[in-house]
Amino acid sequence: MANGVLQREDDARVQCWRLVRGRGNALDPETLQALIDAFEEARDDPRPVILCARGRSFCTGLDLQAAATADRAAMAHLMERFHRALAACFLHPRPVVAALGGHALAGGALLALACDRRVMADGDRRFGIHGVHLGVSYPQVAVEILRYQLPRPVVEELLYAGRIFPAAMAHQWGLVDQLVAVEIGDEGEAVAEKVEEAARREAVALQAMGPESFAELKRSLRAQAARRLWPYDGKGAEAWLDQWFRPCTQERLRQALDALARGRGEKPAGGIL
Amino acid sequence: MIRREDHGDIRIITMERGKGNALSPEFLAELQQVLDEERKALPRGLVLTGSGEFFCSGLDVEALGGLNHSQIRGVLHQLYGVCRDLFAFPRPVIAAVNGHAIAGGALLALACDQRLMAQGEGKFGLNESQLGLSVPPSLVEMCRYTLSRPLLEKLMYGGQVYPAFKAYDMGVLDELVEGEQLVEDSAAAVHHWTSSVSAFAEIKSRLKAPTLDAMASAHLEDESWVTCWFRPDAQRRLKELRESMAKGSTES
Repeated sequence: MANGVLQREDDARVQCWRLVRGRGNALDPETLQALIDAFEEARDDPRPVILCARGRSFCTGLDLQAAATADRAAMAHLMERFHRALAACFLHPRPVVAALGGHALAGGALLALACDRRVMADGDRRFGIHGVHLGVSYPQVAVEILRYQLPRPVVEELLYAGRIFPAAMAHQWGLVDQLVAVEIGDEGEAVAEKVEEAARREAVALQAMGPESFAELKRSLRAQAARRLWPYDGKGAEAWLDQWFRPCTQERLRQALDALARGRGEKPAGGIL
Repeated sequence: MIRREDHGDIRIITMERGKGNALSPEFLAELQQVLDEERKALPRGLVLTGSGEFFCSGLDVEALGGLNHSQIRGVLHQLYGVCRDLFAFPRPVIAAVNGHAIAGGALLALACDQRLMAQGEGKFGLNESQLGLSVPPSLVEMCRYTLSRPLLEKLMYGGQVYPAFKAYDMGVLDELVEGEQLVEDSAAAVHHWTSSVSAFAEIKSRLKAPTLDAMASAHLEDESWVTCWFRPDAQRRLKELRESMAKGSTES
């Protein structure tokens, strides 16, 4: 799986998968496919998985630039990849822990919520799902994962209001399981290493009962959600696509891309889904 | 019995039947008609509120007194319809609980997306079990969406009515606000969730679809509630309640 978007750094106890696409690690078809393949290949590997990234962002969501130019068929394909990648993560038989050294936004937050646990560095990092501000809703896979992970009031506030929380508040709301203190002077790599180390400990502890028992329990706990995720419902996705291609959504999308381009002075990447 | 007015692009629906806004067959029919019309008009959101001391005191025990089995079944079907349509309304629906919300009245509030209640004397609770009754299976399914399991059991098994502050502490209510602020704050809650009304509608339908399916199948078993209504024990307690209500009204 060693391609340009996912880098492995495994040790004897844990597999560590690092998103290295750059550009906010926005999710394009290639990155999503790399995740799907990685989970497929790891099915029989008893080691837990750490999903992480270096830099400012863990993952900023669906790649807006790729999405902005996609026609309906390409968008349907992208959403199917998105569904498969998130479902593969959510239903992976081993513990999967997200090590959030940077922002997890929109689809990036959903990817983190598809994991078993989220460990996040305290400080100026944000976690949230804000697609409604562009007039887009969320596909079924997002709703099923959130329904499983969080209490009803949190799910509604997160999705309906499109809230983005600083790390500490995300922890208070139960979106993040563990907050890793960051000391003054800790920057970049040092923060990432701390968070990844904490994620490793979480992952190993989760599976302390043994890989078979863990897999069986996880399957039972998530069975109800799994039944609603498979087989993939292309028809259900149509409503989402209708919404995406409405003129007012497309207009808001263009504005968001312009704002991103102006704000960063570089090519925008992810940001909403 | 129902007043409607606009608050910007939000509709305020005020129940003002009197008699504690008790749910008689006629009143339920009017509520249903209002919801049907609003579903066509599709405002940005709905705020459901009451008047005087009551949000809603539940089914009209007096009016239901002489009804036979199939008529009670009809009333239950009406209550189910109103709750389901509040629950599934494609825009935010906020219960602005101005005063007591008891039994069927609490169910109306629990069908909404959020419950804001005025500070003060108002009480909130599902006291069906005190009358030897239960909550109809279809509406239990609805409450399972809104309330966590421990809360649901506490409200339903316990059958207590709680002062507003207590209901808020328990997590049954989303906010406790000054009475004069109730409608204003409810309207703000609608705005907070409608950055995009169409995105809201789609997310809400995805979130609630499994519950609506469960409600529809449980409604086929709501007959058990009708049987419960006609059990001698429930009938005796209902009769006592009617008598104490009659006595209360002559005394006051």
